[in-house]
Order: sequence, then C-alpha cells, then structure tokens
Amino acid sequence: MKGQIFETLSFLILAMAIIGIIILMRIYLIGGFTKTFLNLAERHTDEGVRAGVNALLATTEEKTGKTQLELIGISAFVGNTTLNFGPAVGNIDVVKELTWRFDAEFGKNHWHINVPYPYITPDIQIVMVLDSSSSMCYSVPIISQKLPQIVDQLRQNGKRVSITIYMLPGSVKCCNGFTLACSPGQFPEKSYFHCKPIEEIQNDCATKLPSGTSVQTDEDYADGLACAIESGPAEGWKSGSIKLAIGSSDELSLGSECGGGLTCCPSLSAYPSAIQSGNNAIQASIKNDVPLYMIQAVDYADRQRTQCGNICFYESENYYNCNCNGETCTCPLTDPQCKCTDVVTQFQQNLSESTGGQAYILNDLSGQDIVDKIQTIINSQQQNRIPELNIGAAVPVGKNIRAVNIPVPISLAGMFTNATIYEWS
Amino acid sequence: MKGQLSYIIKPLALVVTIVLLLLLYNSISSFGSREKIAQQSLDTTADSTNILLLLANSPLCLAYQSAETQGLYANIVDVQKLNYFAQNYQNTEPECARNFDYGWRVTIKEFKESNGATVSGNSWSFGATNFSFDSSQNSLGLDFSLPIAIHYSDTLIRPGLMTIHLVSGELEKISGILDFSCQLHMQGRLLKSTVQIHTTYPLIYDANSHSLCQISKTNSCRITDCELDFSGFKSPGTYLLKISFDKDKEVIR
Repeated sequence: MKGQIFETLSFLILAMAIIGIIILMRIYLIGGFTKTFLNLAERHTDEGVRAGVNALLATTEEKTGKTQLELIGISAFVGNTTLNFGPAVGNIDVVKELTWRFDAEFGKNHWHINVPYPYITPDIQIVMVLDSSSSMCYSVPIISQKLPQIVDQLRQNGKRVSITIYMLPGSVKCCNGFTLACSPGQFPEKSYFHCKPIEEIQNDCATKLPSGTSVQTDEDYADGLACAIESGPAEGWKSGSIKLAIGSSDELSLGSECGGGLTCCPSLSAYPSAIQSGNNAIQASIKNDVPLYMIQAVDYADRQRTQCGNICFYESENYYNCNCNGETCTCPLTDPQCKCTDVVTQFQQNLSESTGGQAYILNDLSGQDIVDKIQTIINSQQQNRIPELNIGAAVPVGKNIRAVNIPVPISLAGMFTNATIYEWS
Repeated sequence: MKGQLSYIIKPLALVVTIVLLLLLYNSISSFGSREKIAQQSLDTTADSTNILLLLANSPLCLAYQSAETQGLYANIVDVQKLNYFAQNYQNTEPECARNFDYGWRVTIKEFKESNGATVSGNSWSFGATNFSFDSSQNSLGLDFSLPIAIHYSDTLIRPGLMTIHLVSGELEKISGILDFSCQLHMQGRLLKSTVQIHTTYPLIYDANSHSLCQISKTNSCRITDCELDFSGFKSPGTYLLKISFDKDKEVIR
C-alpha cells in the first residue's frame, strides 16, 4: 500500500512540475517577449511623435511667415498668446494656430502643450510731446534738467525705459537761456533718450491719421500726441513693450485763447478745435493701445496764493499786454493761462481718462514735483503676463502618454524655455 | 486488491503524463509561432517607420535642404521633390528608399486652415500600385503615418501627414529578390545566383510593361528593375530560380 501511495504521489509531483513549467513559460517567457515587443513598438511610435512635433513646430503661420516655434518664443517674450504684428498683419492668436495643427495631426483631445513663460522685464517705451510756446519757459527747462536723470536712475534700478521727446515747432528763446527746442546741450542724446522736432515725423503721421492733418501750432499737443503715437518712438514700437505717451502743456491744445483774444472761455465746448485735436489723440491712443498721461505745466509763481507768474523771452517785436524793450518781452501769465487752469485740467483729464492714463498737475517749479510725477507714471506700469502656455486636452490618467521636450528659443530676450508636448492614443 | 489498484493507477498516471507532455509541447510550439508573428509585426512596424524617416530626412529622397547653408531640417520635405516623386514614381518605389522585402506606396496629405476649420490641401502619392494578396485573396500589409512639414518657401511651410501602405507578400519578396540581383549585377558584383521561392498563384512576366505578375482573381503586378527573360510558372508551388544575366537582361530558369 505504501509503495502504491508513493508511486501515485511521484506521478502527481511530475504532473504538477509539468503544469508549473507551462504556467511559468506563459507568465515569464511569453509575457517577457510581449513586453519587449510592446516596448520596441512604443519606441517607434515615440519616434514618430517626436518627429511629428518637430515638423509641426517648423510649420509657418501664413501671414507672418514665422514658424510655430518662433511664435511661441515671441509669445513667451511678451507674456501673451495674442501677438500684434502691426497694421498690415494684425493680431495672431498662437493658441488657435497651434490648436488646428495639432488637432489635424494627432486628433482632437489627444494632445496637450505646456510651455512655462519666464518672467522677462518688459521694455517701457515712452513718447513725450512738449508744448513749445513761450509760456512753457517755466516748465520745459525743468523737464530738460530732470528727465534724463530720472531715466538713468530708473534704468539703473532695472527698468528698461526709453523715451523720445517730440518738441512742437517754435524754438522760443527764454530769458533764462533755455531755447524751447531739441539740442544736445539741453536734451543729451543717448541710445535710450532722444529729442526730436516733431517736424521730422509730421509727413509720416499725417498719412496715418484719419484726419489727414498733422500738428498745426506750437501748442497743438493733442495732435502732436496722435502723431507721436502713430509714428512711434525713435527706435519704433517694439512687440511686447509697455507703451505710453506723455503730453505736457499749460494750455488747451491749440491754445487757451478764446475767440482769438487773450481771454478765457468758461467752458470746454467753446473750443471746438481743441476738442477735435483731443479726439484725434484719443483715437490714436485707443487704436494703438498707448494710454495718454498728461502733466499740466506751471503758470503760477505761487499756486496756493493763486499768484500768476511772468514769463520772459527774447522777442524784438512788441507783444500785447507784455513789457517789451525791443530785445526781450516779459509777459504776465494771467490771461489766458492762469484763468484757464480749470478748463485745461478738464481737457487733459478727459484725454487721460478716455485712454486708461492719468492726468497730473505740476504744483511748483522745484523740480522734485516733476520727478515724482514721472516716476509715478513709470512705476505704475504693470504688464499682464500669463505665466505659461497651457493648451489642449487635460492629460488623462491611466493612459499610455508619450511626452516630447523641445527647447524654445526666446530670441528677443536671448534665452530659452522648454515646451513639453504630450500625446496619447 | 493491492495489485489490482496498481494495474489501474499506473496506466492512468501514464496517460495523464503523456497528456501533460503534449500540452507542454503545444505550449512551446505556440509560443514559438506567436514569437514569429510578433517578430514579423515588429519588423514590419520598424521598417515602415524607417522608410518614412528615410523619405522625410534623406536629401536623396524628400528632405528639404537649404541652398544657402546645405542644412537639413527634421521631417521638413521639399515640395519640389514631392512633385518630382509624384510624377516620376507613379508605379514604383523610388530608389532612395527601396526595400527588397516589401512593397509600399506613400500618400502625403497637406493640411490648411479655413474659417477656423482644418481642411485638406494638396496631396501627393508615389510608390507601387499593386500588392500581393494572401491565399484567401485578402489584402495584406499595414498603414503607418508620420507627421511632416511641407516646405514651399522659407516663409511658407505647411503641416502634412505622410502615410505608408507597406506589404510584405510573395510578389514583393520574389520581385525584391530579382531587383536585388539586378542591382548587384549593375554594380558588377553578381554574375549568377540560385534562390528558392514560393508562390501561391501562377506567376508571369509581361515584357511590354516590364512587370512581374501574380495571376489570381485580381492580378497584381510589379515593375522590375531589369528586363526579364522569364517564361513564368503556370501553377503554384516552390521553385528554384537560377538567375543569370545576358547583357543587362536578367535570365531566370
């Protein structure tokens, strides 16, 4: 009986061993081979996806001729997925461009792109228009003295500020030795600081302005602002920069004289030419997305005591209401300058508030006031940057995801970011 | 009683052991055949990817090469080369990506955007037009795609999809052997050879079209590289081909 039991057991053990071998073969050998096969097949699919992503990013947007990789780089630089390529091309939507291409190649809801956008300090480009009439003999010399210092200081603090001053026509010679015109001695020329007579751009901007008119007088600063915005700063408007326009005058655009006389009208509606000029500035500002900032220049010798000042400039002819000696004239700033202060404030506030800017009134001639005002304007500029480009369907959980990393050059900043593209079947 | 039990259990155990050994054998052989099928599938997938990458990245094939820098760009194909290939390789594979184990045809489709929707633009096609059928007259082969970019100019590069239909059948293999021999002969490296082939359908050579054809319900023909002196095989079977050359004519006996 014992022998039979052992005999039976030995057969059982043999049978179990064979069954065990079969099971092990199925689990390990076949399973292992299948895994190897799948890995190799997956590598080929990976290669296809990588090649496809490279090819897609090399395709061009048809209006600009720029590749998708270049568009992502520009988008990373400006921190926005809508890129403006000027009036001829218009806006390009990077998300839309990438979406239809990836949908066509990989299918809808089968891909996702993530590109972190590094923080890039934006350029701050300023165009400034200065009234050059004799009443500005108070304020322009202070601007000339302080503005280059402010820009230098801001640049030392990491702000990439550049400024182009457009001086309205006139070239009045003030008794304090300052001439209301651009000259290297008064406005030092630097790569980021320029002063130009507005005549240099008048023909160009006249063709761009809907009114077809350019600057008319030494006090037509609203048309001057429209012109400066349309023509841009000396280096041209840059893609992705913060752009703003600053105007400074003590009068209404085209002058505060009412009905041709040295009196002041009680309301703005009595100045149709100023209103038209202001509308030109507002239209140019809104069209080009360049807000207007106004600095109302000083006419008062003592604003708190409402004591109007006098202005002295070189003039051989006699001026009405002025004390002229054949060489210089000294004129009181009572009419229309000081008396029109409220109307001017209203006009300049309207320009600023209609365009997202701000109006400021200079309180004194100390110089610190204008420093504070301009620093406030520049420091208030913030760029709304998106932190990353994140488009396509959400990456699913539990699926076989293929990921490709592509370096994206941000050539405008001389740096790189990294695009990660996910694809799944 | 003890002896009787032994007589029953021993043969039973023997039968069980034999059954199990048969199972083991079956398992080993099925593993082998599965491995073979998987290997073939992997080879075909790998070859299809390789042919597509070769087409898209070789300057001898479709790759765009900058005239100024002589630089090549990954998977950017030149529209002029595409036009040339579509015109000159309507029925045969271009030499730059010829594979003697397979027959293939490539189709390239361009994508454009119109009013927010993706639409098809131009399309190109080249390569073999006829392929082998299996013994049940079913189509063979696999289709594999690769996204590419189509270069018109430096400022106009459009997205596209290159799809290959790749077939590894009897006609492709026989034709591949003959073409490979022809190529070696052209290079002065082969005078004669002997190869064994198998064909499921009768095989003829059409001298007018320089085509080797398998005759079935649907005839399949492939243009051969060399002109053949071949009387054909009227019945299916395994044959020994003796290949020699008379000038540039490939003689098959």
